[in-house]
Amino acid sequence: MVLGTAHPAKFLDVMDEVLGGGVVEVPERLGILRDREKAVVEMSTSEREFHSWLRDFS
Amino acid sequence: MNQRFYSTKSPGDFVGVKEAVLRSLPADNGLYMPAVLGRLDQSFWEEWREMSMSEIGVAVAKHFFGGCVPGEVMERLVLDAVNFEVPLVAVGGESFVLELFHGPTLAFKDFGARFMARLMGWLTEGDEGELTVLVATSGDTGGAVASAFHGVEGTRVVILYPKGKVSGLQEKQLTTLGGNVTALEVDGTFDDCQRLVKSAFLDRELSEEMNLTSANSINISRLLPQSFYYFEAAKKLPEGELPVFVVPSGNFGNLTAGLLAEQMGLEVERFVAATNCNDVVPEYLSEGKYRPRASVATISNAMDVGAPSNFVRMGEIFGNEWEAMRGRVAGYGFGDDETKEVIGGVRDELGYVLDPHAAVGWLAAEKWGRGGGADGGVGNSSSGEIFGCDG
Repeated sequence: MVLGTAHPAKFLDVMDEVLGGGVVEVPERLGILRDREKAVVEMSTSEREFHSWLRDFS
Repeated sequence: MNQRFYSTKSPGDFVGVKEAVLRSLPADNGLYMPAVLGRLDQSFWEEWREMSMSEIGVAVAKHFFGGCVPGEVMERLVLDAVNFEVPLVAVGGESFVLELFHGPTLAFKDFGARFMARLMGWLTEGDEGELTVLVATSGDTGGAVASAFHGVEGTRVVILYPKGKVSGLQEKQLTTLGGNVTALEVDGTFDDCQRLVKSAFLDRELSEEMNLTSANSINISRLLPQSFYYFEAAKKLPEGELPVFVVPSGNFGNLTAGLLAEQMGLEVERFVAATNCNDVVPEYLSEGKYRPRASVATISNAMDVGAPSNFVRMGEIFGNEWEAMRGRVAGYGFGDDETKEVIGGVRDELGYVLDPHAAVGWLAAEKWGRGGGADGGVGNSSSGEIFGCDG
C-alpha cells in the first residue's frame, strides 16, 4: 500500500517530460486560480522594514 | 487525564497543549512528544471498521490529547478539518495507492495544516488580540498553511515568499485568498524570507505584542492528523490482513504519524520508508549509522531533505535502538532515472499516473515485494538499501 502524497498536477514539469504534455490534467480547483488577480505587499529584505510593517499591520 | 508534552531534549519537563502547539519548537531545539500514548480503548476496536475516517479521527484525537480539549470541541475541529475523501485505489493485482491529495491544496499537508489551524484558533479563543501566523515558504507549504487558516476566526496569516522564485500556480495559491491571509513578496531568496521570520520571533517584544506563532511542519498538532489515514486504510483491508505501508519520505513526518498509529494499537505488517537519493534513513537502517548531510536536488523535490527533522521522533519511539527500528521499518532509496521509468511503466501497463513521490514509493513497494516480504522474511539484511544513487 503506497501513500500518494500529492496530486501529479503539482509536478507538471516532470510529468509532462515523462508522459508527454496533456496527460496529467490540472484539477479545477487549481486551474481556476490562473484567472484570479494576485494581491501582495512588496517587501525588501530589511528586517527593520519588515518589523515596522508588522507592527502597523492590523 | 490531560495529555502533556515533553521535549526530546529534556524528557523530564512537561508543557501543556497550548504551549506545545503555539510554540511548535521547544526552546531547547528538541521536538515535542506526547508524555503518554497507549492503546486506544477496547470500545474503539470493537467499532473502528464501521467508522468513517472523520469518526476515527475524532476518537484518535480525543485519545491523543486526552482532556486538553473538550470532546465536543475536538469533534467539531476534526470534522471541519478533515472534510474530504481519501480513496484507496487498487493499481494492478495486489497493490494500492492511498490518495491523500483530495484536500484543498492537493497534498497530504492539508490534513495537518487544517487541523493545526483550527486547534490554534480554539486554543487562543478569548485571548487578547489575534494570533498572527508567520510562514516563510518556497512554494508548497505556504499554500497549504494559507488555505488552512483562511477564514479561521481569531487568526491571520502572513506569508513571505521569494519574488519570482515560486511557480505561477503556487504563487496564485498564496496570493489570491485574501481575507485573513496576507502575502509578502520579498525581493530576495527563500533564505531571506526565513531570516525575516526568524528575526521577528527573536524580537521578544514584537513577538509578544503581535502574538506571533509559526506554522512549522514539525508542530505536533500537524503530525497527529496524519495518523488518521493509516487507520482508514487498514480498515479497508479484509480482517486479518495486515497492511504494509510504503511511505514516500523526506522529513519523515508521515512515517512518524504511522508509528504513532501503531503505538495507539493499529496492527501493521511493516513500514517501508521510500526515499530518493536523499537516503540518510535507508542508510541508517542498513548500517546503523546516522549521517545527516546537505540535501541533493531530485525530481521528487518535496523529499529533498538531508537531515530529516522527524528522525529524532522515530528514534524516541524505538528507544533509540537501531535493531528495534529496523525490525519495524525498512527503507529503500532510488534515483531519478528509475523514478521516471516507473512513472511511464505504471501508466502504460496499469493505467495509473503516479506523481514523482508516489513513484519512489512504488519502487520501494516492488523492492519490498521481491525480497523484504514474501521471500526474505522480516528483519533480513534488506532493511535498508539504496539503488541508482551515486556514492
